[in-house]
Parts: sequence; structure tokens; C-alpha cells
Amino acid sequence: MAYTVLLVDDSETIRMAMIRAFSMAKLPMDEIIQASDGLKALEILRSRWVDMVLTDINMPNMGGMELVAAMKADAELSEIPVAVISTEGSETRIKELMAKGIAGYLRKPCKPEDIRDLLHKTLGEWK
Amino acid sequence: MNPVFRDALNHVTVRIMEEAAFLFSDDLPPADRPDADWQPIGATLRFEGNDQSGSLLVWADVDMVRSLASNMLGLDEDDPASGMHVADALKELLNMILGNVLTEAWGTAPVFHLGIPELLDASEWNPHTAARGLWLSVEGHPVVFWGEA
Repeated sequence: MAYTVLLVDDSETIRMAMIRAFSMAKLPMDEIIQASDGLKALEILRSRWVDMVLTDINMPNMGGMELVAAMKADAELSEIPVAVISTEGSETRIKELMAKGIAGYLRKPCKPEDIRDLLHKTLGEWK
Repeated sequence: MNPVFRDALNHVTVRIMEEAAFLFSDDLPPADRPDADWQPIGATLRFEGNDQSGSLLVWADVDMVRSLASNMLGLDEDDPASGMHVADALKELLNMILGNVLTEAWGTAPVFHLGIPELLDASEWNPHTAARGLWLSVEGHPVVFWGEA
């Protein structure tokens, strides 16, 4: 089965590097959709299906913490798995995100195999 | 610069450049550092938390940042797309380094709030201020980091 993933990061360079990592990890991707902040991600999520969201935390307009909260508060989006990929390494923040129901957390810079393992773990358990 | 922050910056910066973009670094001796005529590209990123606040700044040779962008994207350095991502790549490098420096310096318990990286105007380049920074030669190109923390 191929996956449709929504990548949310304000850096186009990071989004392109992540897409490259998906390719290097030989993940079965149907489509990789991109958004530059949480608000744009919500617009996309309300208009089409995605299997999983990968989001940064620090972004203009709406950050990853707010995006996760908005998705969990929306009955139609709350079951879509969300993982956070960020430079931040605070255990306190990661626990806070886990308590909000995120599916996983990776710290930048991350390796293609880390992304592959995260998607396999998350989508394998959820689909 | 806060000595804890400085030690962490020394430990983290070289590792992150290798992991994020396969760029290898050496210390840059004072005699090899550029002067006021240097035309670098710079960026800054603010943080606060754990009763600390400050910022991390970087000035880098444009050719080094072009290598950074091309390596992050898996492109040739002469690919026009690499040139288009120079500024963004530098800002993201700063983001990755600062996020890792903060936990190296103060552990994983505190929560730090990072801002959005911003480019610096070239006119702000000042070799006297940068003299206190961490100078590296990255693939033969000068780069300096320093924290105002």
C-alpha cells in the first residue's frame, strides 16, 4: 500500500530534503503534499485525505503545537496520525506532545531510516 | 558568551554540519580569518526559556552555504536550485544547531522557545565582534558562530 503524507515545515529546503529522504528510504509513497505552516496544513486536511502528517514545531502563523491541538479538537481530523520532526529536544515538550496524542517524534537532523521506521511503525499500526 | 553555551556550541556545531549536510570542519586559526572586506551571508535566531534568553548568530562564506544547500538537497553545487536555497539552508542550519546546543548546554528538562531564523544584513558584519566567536573552516570556507547568551 502506498501512503499519502502531508509535510508541514516553513523551510522549503527542509521539505525538499525530507522528500529526498523518503526516496532514499524507498518508502511506498503515493503522494507527498507540502504546507508551510499549520494554517495551510489545516486547509489541506479539510479538503482531502492524507494518511499521516509530519510537522515542524516552530513556524509562523500557526506552529506544530497548535496544529496538533486543532487536529485533535476536530472530529474529522483527530484520528489522522501526526508526528513531529523538530530541532527541539526538550523531554518535557516531547511528553507534552505525546500527551496530546502524537504518533512519534524525530529530532532534526534525522536520517532516512529514522523516517522510514517512524512511518512503518505508525502506519503499520494504524492502517 | 555564556561559557556553558560556548562549550555546547563547540561540541554540537561540527557534528550537526556533518549529520545534516556531510560538511566537515576544522578550527580556523586567527591568521586565516577574513577581514572587514569579507562578503558573507549571515543569520540569527533568538531563544528564551529556563531563565535564559539570547540568540545564535552565524556568518558564512557564500560558497560554503551553497555547498550546504546542495548537500542537503542532493543537488550539484552548480544546479540553479542550490542557489535558490542558500538563505533558507543557512537559516535551517542555525535552527538545527541552536536546538541541539540548548539541550547540550542545559539538558532535556527545560523547555526553550525558539524564534524564526532571520537573515542578517551584510552591513552588520563586524570582524571585531566576531573575533569572540567559534571560527571554523568548512570544506575550506570560513564560517563563524557565536551566541549572545
